[in-house]
Amino acid sequence: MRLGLCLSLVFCLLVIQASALSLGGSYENDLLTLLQKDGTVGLGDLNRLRLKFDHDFCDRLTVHLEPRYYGLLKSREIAIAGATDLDQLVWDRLYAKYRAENWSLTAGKQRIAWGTGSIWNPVDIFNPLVLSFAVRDDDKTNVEALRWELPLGEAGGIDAFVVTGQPWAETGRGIRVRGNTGMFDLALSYVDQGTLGRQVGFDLAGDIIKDVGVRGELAIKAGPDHNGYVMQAVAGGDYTLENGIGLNAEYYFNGLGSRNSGSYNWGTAESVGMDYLYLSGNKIIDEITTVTVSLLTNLDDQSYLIYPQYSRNVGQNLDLYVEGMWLGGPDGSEFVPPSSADPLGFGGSKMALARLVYSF
Amino acid sequence: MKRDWLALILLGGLGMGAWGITGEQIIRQVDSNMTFTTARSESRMVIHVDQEVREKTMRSYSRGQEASYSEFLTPARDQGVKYLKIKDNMWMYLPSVDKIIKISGAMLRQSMMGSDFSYEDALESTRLLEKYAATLAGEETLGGRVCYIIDLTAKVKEVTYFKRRVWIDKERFIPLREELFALSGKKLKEMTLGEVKRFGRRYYPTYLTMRNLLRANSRTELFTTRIEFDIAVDPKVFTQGNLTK
Repeated sequence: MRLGLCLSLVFCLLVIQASALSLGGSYENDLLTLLQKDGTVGLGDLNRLRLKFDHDFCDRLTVHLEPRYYGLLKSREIAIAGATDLDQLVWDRLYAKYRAENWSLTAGKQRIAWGTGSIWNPVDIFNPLVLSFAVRDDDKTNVEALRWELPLGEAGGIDAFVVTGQPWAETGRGIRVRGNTGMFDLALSYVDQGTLGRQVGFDLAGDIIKDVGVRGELAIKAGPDHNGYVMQAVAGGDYTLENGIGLNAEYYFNGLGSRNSGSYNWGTAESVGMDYLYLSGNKIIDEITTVTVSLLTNLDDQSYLIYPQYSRNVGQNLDLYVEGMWLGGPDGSEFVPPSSADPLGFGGSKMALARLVYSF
Repeated sequence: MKRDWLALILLGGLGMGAWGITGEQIIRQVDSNMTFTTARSESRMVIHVDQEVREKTMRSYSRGQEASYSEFLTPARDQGVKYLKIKDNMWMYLPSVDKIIKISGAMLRQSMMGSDFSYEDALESTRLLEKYAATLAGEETLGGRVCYIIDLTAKVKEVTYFKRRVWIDKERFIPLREELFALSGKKLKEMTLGEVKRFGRRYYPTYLTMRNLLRANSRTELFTTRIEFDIAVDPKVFTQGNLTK
């Protein structure tokens, strides 16, 4: 019997015990304007309702349900990061978690987030592009899997998963062992995607000197589409000045990409450029207001994405975000791609967005 | 977590004043009064920014000064966010992405959950005893309580607050006020403690307010609404495994 069916039965049981459910979620409204390179203006109004149900059947068994409804009013076709399924209901997370004395098992649609990079996570096969400045955590890709976690000591553990619902030869399965050395969190991982390839990963996060944080990831990949082995690596650091301005930088080497824009494989976002740099600065104006400016650039073709953001907690559970996005660079570059690689004409455009999020 | 902020004042040093007691002896007395093996508390954090007020509630566990665990219960936007501190390491768990994030580098100086406290304030421990020299600077009356004033000056450069001035209740050996300064001499933060209550043989402040002076018109109050000392706490509480539970 499929896992989803089992979980549906569990959901029915939950409804029966509805009084014991804990319910939370958020409602979000995004009003956006898109000015495309050809002068076309697009308007959109995106509504997202996310519900989160949690129920503890007993001390050891918890069920988590997270449906999300998207509704988009739009003047024309608009691509929105994180919104791939519009005007429909999506089950983002739907899992049961069993906690034994020394381990736990999670079955169902869940989030498996590995790695330490803030923009790129090559060790995470489910979300290799994090783009944390633009894509909300709740919009990350989830996966139907069985996941086993074994905590070791205070700050270590083993995390293993098997993706369900696919033929064994093609299914993803992986294991990650992590620990702490005092200064650093370290992790070593191995993922086997059957006929799709294999990957060995390493990631770390910590401080080298006072107030300078560092993070890094290294993934060695082998697969039918690669000529032998390819490497992807991330190195990043951050620092906060005495005046409170936080600085963040991350370099990404993408062995799957190319340094020549004429050789880009436009089919996947992971196979475009080879060298990237991310820079950002943020200032907490007061306890409820933050301003952030981010720059992501493809060093190989000099294209860039500038992303300013103003955020304010305007009520106890109400957050306002005002954001802009400016894509630029030479014609044919990653952020101003040729029309054959950009059917929606998103490249080279400018966007302004006002977002209200109410949590309950 | 509150225990750790109080740990800021548990700093040793030398310097005999005209009062027949040294800064180090005063600190040791405070340490003796404030030290506990374990604690469980519930707190309410009230953040004031101009006329705006935000409230958060949390449940915390502490094991001495080396480990603490906190979970935010309200408001809805922060519900389920958890923190774990073990010695000099701190991690945050974000339920929205089901991920544990190590708090290091730049994040340490940033605001913790939108409050006037930084993560670094929460992380500091008695290891700082090795980083400061203490001198007894005088006495002053605060709210009717006679206090020792102790100046703490950094012996090393790797500290956010180069100098601290702490007022300690002369009778109860409880910190009642602290001012934190940058290397440039600029005052960065002010902390006031109060509502001192007796728990068995121990006095403990159940109210704390912090002002980050780099930001205009803001302050954060922390009310300890319930606290129990020296109780049995499962060691697994202070593990990363508990963050994802």
